[in-house]
Amino acid sequence: MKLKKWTALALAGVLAAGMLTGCNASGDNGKTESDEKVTIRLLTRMAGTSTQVSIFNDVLEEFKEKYPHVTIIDDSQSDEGAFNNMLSTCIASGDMPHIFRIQGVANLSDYIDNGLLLDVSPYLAEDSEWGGGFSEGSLAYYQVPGYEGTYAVPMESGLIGVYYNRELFSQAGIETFPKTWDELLEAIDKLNAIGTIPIAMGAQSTYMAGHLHDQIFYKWVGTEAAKALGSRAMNWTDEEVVQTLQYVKDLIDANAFDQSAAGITADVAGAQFQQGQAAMMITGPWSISKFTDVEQTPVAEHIDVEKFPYFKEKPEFKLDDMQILSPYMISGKLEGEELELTIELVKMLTNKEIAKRYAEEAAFLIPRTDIDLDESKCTELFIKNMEIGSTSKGIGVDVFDFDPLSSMQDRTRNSILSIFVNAAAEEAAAEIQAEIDNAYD
Amino acid sequence: MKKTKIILMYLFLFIMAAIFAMPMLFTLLSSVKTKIEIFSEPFALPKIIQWKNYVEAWNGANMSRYFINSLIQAGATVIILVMVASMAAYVLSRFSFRANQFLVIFFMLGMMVPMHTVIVPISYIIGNLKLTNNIPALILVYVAFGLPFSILVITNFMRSINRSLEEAALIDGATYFQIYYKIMLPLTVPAISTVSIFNFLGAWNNILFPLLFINDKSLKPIALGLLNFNGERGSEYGPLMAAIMITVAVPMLLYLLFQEKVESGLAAGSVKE
Amino acid sequence: MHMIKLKNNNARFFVFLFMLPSLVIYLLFQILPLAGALYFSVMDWNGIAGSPVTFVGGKNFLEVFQNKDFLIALKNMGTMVIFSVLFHTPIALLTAVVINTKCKGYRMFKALFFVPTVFPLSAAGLMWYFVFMPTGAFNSLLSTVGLGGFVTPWLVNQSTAMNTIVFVNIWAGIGYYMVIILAGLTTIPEEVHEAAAIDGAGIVKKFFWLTVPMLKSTLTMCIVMDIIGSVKVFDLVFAMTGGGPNGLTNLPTTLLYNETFKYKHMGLGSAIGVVILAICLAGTLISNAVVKHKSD
Repeated sequence: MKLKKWTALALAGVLAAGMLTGCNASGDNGKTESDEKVTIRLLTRMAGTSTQVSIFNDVLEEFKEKYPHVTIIDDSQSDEGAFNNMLSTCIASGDMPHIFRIQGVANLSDYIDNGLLLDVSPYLAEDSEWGGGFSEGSLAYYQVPGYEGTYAVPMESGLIGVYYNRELFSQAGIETFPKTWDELLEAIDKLNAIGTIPIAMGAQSTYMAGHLHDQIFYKWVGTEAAKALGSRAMNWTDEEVVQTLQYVKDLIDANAFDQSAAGITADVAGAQFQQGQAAMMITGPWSISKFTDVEQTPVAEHIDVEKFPYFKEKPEFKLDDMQILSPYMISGKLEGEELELTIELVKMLTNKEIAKRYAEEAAFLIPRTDIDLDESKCTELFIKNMEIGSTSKGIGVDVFDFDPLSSMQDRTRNSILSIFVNAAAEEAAAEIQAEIDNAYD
Repeated sequence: MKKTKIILMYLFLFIMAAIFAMPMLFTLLSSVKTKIEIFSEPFALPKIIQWKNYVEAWNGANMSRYFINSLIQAGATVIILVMVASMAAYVLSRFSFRANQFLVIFFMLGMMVPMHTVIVPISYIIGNLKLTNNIPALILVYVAFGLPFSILVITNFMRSINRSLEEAALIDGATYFQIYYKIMLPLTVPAISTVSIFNFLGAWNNILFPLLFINDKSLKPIALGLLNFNGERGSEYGPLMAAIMITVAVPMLLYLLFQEKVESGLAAGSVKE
Repeated sequence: MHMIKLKNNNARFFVFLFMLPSLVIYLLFQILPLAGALYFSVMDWNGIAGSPVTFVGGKNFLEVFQNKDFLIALKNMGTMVIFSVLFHTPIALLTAVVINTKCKGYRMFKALFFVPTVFPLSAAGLMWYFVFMPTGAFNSLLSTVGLGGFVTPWLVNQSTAMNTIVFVNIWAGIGYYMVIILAGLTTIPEEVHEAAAIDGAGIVKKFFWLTVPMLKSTLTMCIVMDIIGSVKVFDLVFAMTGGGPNGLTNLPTTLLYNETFKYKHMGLGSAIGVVILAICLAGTLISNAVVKHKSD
């Protein structure tokens, strides 16, 4: 009798132990000897159905064939929310994937201090064919003040401009794309007159509202000002910064957007542009492959791109542009074979040859100066985007990139969104500034 | 009953029915329409039934994966919970010992704790013990939160069972384990089925804990996977509607099959999770 | 009613063994986290592993009550609780009474009204999101029947957003309370109704002077459950608006989630969690007292 009881206990104990150690923990930082299986985990935004993702997957396949003993776990997410969620969990536990990305630059110091980011500069120097091909500007973006080294490998770049529908513009009687803010307001009036939504805006996806503000910001106070905000040399409640928020309100008041912009997601707004119901859309090169596909975008042949208008009072910022710059970051906790293989994978994803493929097939630009581009294979839209993007003097991604507070991404975007639901520019500015002030008391 | 009263009554019922059915009908109809039809004629019948929406949702959007995940997670929760709770209930309902009263109240306290309160510590534990995507841990959390209600219901039910069978068995030399297994369990089936359905539904419908635990898309339960689908491809309304239908199918079926059980369980003085 | 006394080690061991799994799971996965919640609510942590966790005492709670978003969330919670209770129980009562008459098709109506309660709230929320979104079914309906002037982005407009969500919560909960009341109704013996009918009482009179008083404890229980249930709503808001735009439709639960996961204010998040716990505890204790008092 007793034996039965003890067996039952033991069984229960084993079961419990087995369950707790768990069979599913995909955060396995497998230590390896050279014969054992190596696992490489990726957490990027390369997921979904676009061409650049299929090229990404091709590289992963190639890598798997080359190294059959390596298992690749790709946790990449295309939805920003899901991605951020996953990233937060990893950061909170210190259990980083091998390859990932964190948006922003100034807040990297926390991560570097905790050993989460690898300094890639020795590897860039060592393999000059690979490392030497990246543009100065892109590498400089990932060098953090106060720390030696470069903390990411740049993998995406490109101008974020205003894509517009030439057909709708000519219907509205607009001959050339507005160069200045005032001309933009005029164009908006004319587009409203023919019943078209001037600018597609899905503010419910807060990033879209944020990007609008970024564009205005760089043209009114310049890209360096973003750094000043981050270093606290400037405040969100300073007059010029509040003015940038006021311009957002001015656009809303001028009916530049759908009445219900705050309730529409970026997806839906994009669909409006693609179906020819909206005349303009602020987006980046990641949309090019969609815009040139007639099935997804019936108005594909009419789409062109130009830079966001500048303010005639501020001609000095005419060439301060918003560009996308995205990184592959490598976990600082890797060693030995795992580290080597991970670096090799990153190289395969960002070298000259793959950059050529990305550009030609997916209109996706890796910031290398040595891409041997066959322009005849690229779409006109892509080439135009590259052309106008190459004239930028100052580059900024999102304004909050330079802010050491990681909560600023959501804070700024949500406050900008509040302007779409009738908040005043001053209120929004105060709200953002409060987040900063609170963090430092 | 007088005529006017009957008319009034039916009027009331039909108005209520309209409000209740509207979104469900809209979703059902939209799930078999094309995107354009959904917008141009929201309440009309589709010209051609677009079953492909369901195919797209099931395969392309991975609803099948989420469905299975939910089945596993909810199913495992119920199995473990029933085992563990019935064991505790047997002891609490039949044995007198000092800690008995205390334990009952101890478990009762749990019913007052909302899941949200423990979001931060659980994510901390998940982070430090590397329990991300650890489904067994998720299931144990479900079990833990389901224990108070389940133990309450099963204990009360067991208390009301006539002891003569057990007493006879004891005299015949049966062990407590045998009594539990051969007498109590079979007799407690009504309470166990109520508890099972409740907790199955609770686990099936939960998104909070999966949000904390699960990053891996292929492990998400359906209630969460649905939101994911909306987040990623939110403008594909047809398949989205189909996905919603798939998500609510199981709870709906469960209810229709076990109507009385579900309703009597509610009446047993339950607290909704 | 006699219980078995623990006379020998055999019995003691058995009791121990059978209680163990529940206790272990309960302690590890509910009590421990609960203690953790209290702990974190007086600490400051930025959510990165390895970063310091520092004691700050009541600072988080002070912050919580001065936080504009929390005050909005509290107000929304108030709206949610008040309107849910105001509509759930009366409408559920009415519906239950009607269904209890077992008129033709009553089974169908009962099922229809109850089914929403078994749906995952995230799915219900999403369903209604498509109805209320700017280009959704409801606005289409309004335009078609000529009420186009009422078209508005329901979930984003300051004056309608929270109320719309409360409406959906009401929709999702009526069936639940209806069923509970139905069960209560069936305990009222037929003879009582017949007696009242013989006395010449009209239907309405019967309803207010007879049915309602006899259901008092059931109705009270419903209201109490409703209050606590409304405090806990999360899935619905999360699915429909995520708490936005900019915190407009936050409930303390979604605010907690956002503060913790988006803004990494862990201490603040925990403090909110403790406040929610306190509200639930208070609610339960008060209701227990009320029920005890009433049943005398």
